[in-house]
Amino acid sequence: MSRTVRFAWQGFSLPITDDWRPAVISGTFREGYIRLEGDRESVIQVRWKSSKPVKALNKRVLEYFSQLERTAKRAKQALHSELDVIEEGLVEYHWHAGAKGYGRMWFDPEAKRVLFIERSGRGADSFKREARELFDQFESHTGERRPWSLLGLSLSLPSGYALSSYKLLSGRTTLHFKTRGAKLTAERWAFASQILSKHLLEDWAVSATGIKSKPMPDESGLKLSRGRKTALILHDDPNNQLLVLNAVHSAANEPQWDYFASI
Amino acid sequence: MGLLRINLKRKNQATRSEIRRARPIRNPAIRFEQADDGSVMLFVPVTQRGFLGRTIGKMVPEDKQVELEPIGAFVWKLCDGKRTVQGITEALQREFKITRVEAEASLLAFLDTLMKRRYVALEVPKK
Repeated sequence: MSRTVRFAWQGFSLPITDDWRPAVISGTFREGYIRLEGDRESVIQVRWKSSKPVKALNKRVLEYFSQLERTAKRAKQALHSELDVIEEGLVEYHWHAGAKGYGRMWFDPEAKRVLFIERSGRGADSFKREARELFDQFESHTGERRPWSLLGLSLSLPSGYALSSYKLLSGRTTLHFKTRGAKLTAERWAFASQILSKHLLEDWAVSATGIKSKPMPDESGLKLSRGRKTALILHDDPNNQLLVLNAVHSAANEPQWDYFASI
Repeated sequence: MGLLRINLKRKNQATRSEIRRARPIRNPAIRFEQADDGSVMLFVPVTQRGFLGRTIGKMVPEDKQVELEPIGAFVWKLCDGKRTVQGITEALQREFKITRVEAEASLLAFLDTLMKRRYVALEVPKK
């Protein structure tokens, strides 16, 4: 009963089923790495790095093969690998040793980044088609809004917002962003009905945001304002979650309801 | 009080896939009662050891009461030795509309606590 969701991070997004766990998340828009882990040692890795246009990506893939080969040698296994240059700035490859992997590396001229995505795993099951679908549905986002989506929290923020830190707890996902003139915290609280069986939404909103003012019903939920602080609280009943945007901002950067991607 | 003799493994010895197929089972020595608000009260037998324990034991209640809030109570009721960890994860996901990753992480942390206190054991299937 897994359902497909989009994982969105640092200007890209990809479809995954909700049983993939973020194991490593690091970096910025310019450079970074994520590793998602699924069942049976399945792994999705994405690496990205800002770069000038790169034509010969095959050299980088061959370097990667050398690394894999060293690892395979240590495990007394032979590495078999193959590289296809699809077009200038786009290569695909696959390898197998004890495990196997399918990957794609390309230069994204819009985001000016080299991206690498690989789906790997062990076992006899073939996931070649799954890897192909993953690559084909991978999207790069370079517009005015940038999606952020993981563990039930989905946002669509102006592209000027950069992630400064995050905390992923079971039942609570928190992302902190900064932009010129504003700091924004986005939070998702699971178990909304259990929280609201003990607290009034208005009381909870004051406590969760730390903004001591009377919550007012607004467009899609509750709004709290005090000086340069504004918080928006959305009770997403169908998904049993509470979503919070809490900002310290200038007049031009007041958080908007459509920052929640689900609205 | 004693746990059933079952194929018990420490969590860190089993793989994630083995844990998902494992069946949590409640300690049969623990009675429980459900309240109207969905919570569950556990009555855990208190073991008094040694001369002093036996002497003082006569003055203290036989059971220790532990209240599980509704989410914990939901899990407790499913630890019947029939459902697997994966089955309970899916039930938790359905009931509380949380993501599968969250449901599994919460469940494993909760089971770990219950196992340390010997309130449940985990029957791990043979390879």
